[in-house]
Amino acid sequence: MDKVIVITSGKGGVGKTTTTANLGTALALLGKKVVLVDTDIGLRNLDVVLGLENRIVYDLVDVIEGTCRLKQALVKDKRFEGVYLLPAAQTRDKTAVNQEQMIKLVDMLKEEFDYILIDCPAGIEHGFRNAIAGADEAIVVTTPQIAAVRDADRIIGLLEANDLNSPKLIVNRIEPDMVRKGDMMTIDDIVGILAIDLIGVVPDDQSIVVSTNKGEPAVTDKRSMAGKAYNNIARRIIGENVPFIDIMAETSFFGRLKKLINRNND
Amino acid sequence: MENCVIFKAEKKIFRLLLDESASMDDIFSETEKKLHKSKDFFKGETITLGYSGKELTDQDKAKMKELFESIGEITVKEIIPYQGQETIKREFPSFSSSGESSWSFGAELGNNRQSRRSSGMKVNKNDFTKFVKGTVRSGVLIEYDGNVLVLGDVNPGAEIKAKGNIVVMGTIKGLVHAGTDGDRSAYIVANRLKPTQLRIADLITRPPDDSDGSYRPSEPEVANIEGNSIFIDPLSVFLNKK
Repeated sequence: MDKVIVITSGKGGVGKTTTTANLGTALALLGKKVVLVDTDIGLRNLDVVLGLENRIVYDLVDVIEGTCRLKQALVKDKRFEGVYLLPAAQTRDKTAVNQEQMIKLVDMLKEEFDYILIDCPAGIEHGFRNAIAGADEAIVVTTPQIAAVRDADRIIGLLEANDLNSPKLIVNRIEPDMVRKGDMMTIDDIVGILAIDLIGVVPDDQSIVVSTNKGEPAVTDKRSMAGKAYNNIARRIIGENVPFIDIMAETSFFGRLKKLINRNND
Repeated sequence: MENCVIFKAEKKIFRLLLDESASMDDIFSETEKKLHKSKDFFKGETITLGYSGKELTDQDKAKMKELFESIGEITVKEIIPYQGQETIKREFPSFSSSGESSWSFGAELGNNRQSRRSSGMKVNKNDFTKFVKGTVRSGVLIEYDGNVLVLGDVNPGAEIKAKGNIVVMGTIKGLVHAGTDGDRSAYIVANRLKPTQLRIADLITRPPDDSDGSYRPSEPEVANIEGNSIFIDPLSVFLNKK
């Protein structure tokens, strides 16, 4: 994928910020120099998820207004070489920035970094338009809920109208057990509706709650299924061909045993 | 709106009492009216304007200055907030621009101030304190040229910036910056300090990464500068310093 990627969803709470934090960290672990840009001015969260809140001195609005230089506003990650955060301002609102300014800012960042991940605010208003202004490509995050898929569909339309063609899809928080029972939309259902390329499926994982509260991205946790999924997505972003994990596969020993017996009986 | 602005002249300072509930448009038109009435009186004077009762933005200040200079032919040296007990109360519409009767008890107060001032005490920024009632929530920025006192907590994502000192009768969890114009003698007091960041003058500090924030002090804590670092002292220790 190209280097400036906006992560968006339309609906709030589907995991844009968590996805941005994890993909950024995963790309850095693959040796890339990455900057994560929080464009959710007034409702910033990316700094908290990355555990960098208390290191912020200047923010995106300061850079744009010329209060500080770009380098002064970049917060270096405390754990990983190669991850930088450009935080949003908290005591301002979305109108503090316009699209031309975002394009200029992204152009400056392009000289320094291999990848620029832009965390988009929820909604389709001013903040969304700012976030996509400087992007070359988009990743749409959705969850297996009708409302989230509806909003994702709307977002894909808006992205295409703004020349961000063929966005990639991440289906987040899927619960294999519920899908198996037929209580949850399947990946095929979602891809069928949205008709864009799937770049990853992230299973629902309770360890994400712990890791986001602690400010430590899940990709660093070897046991986290979600972390594994994000690592795979990062590898797909840099162009590797990684097969999808079959998250529908039975994970427990008894589950597999039962399947085996059933197959033998057939 | 009638009487949403009251003029009051004190030694060296010309005071504007503003009605908090009035719109800026009302205030400007009322000011204009009053200036027209009394313009011969002030003509040619150079004054400092002190306002109270309502916050003025830089734009408002510029407009106010322009009104005084164009209509009243008064040179306005500066416009500063003035901390005064007197506020305009709508229930008592008896306040008038001359205000003799209403200020009979206030006159004593005014005299006290004058005597203090004549004894060589200068009015400085730290004589003004902004009071904030209740929790300061995420996304709120409180900026003031004097001191700030918060009766509540300062939550993460909230910011307090004061040229003077900051006192929080609660827990600081957000960002507070005292002595914003470089005053290294400024300090920050709180019942409990669990800040995202503390700043005094040009210094910035944050809690260590391994702090779990479970420490409960038995008395208020004071962040202040010693040498080139910000230190946290219990209030009693701070008071015995120097």
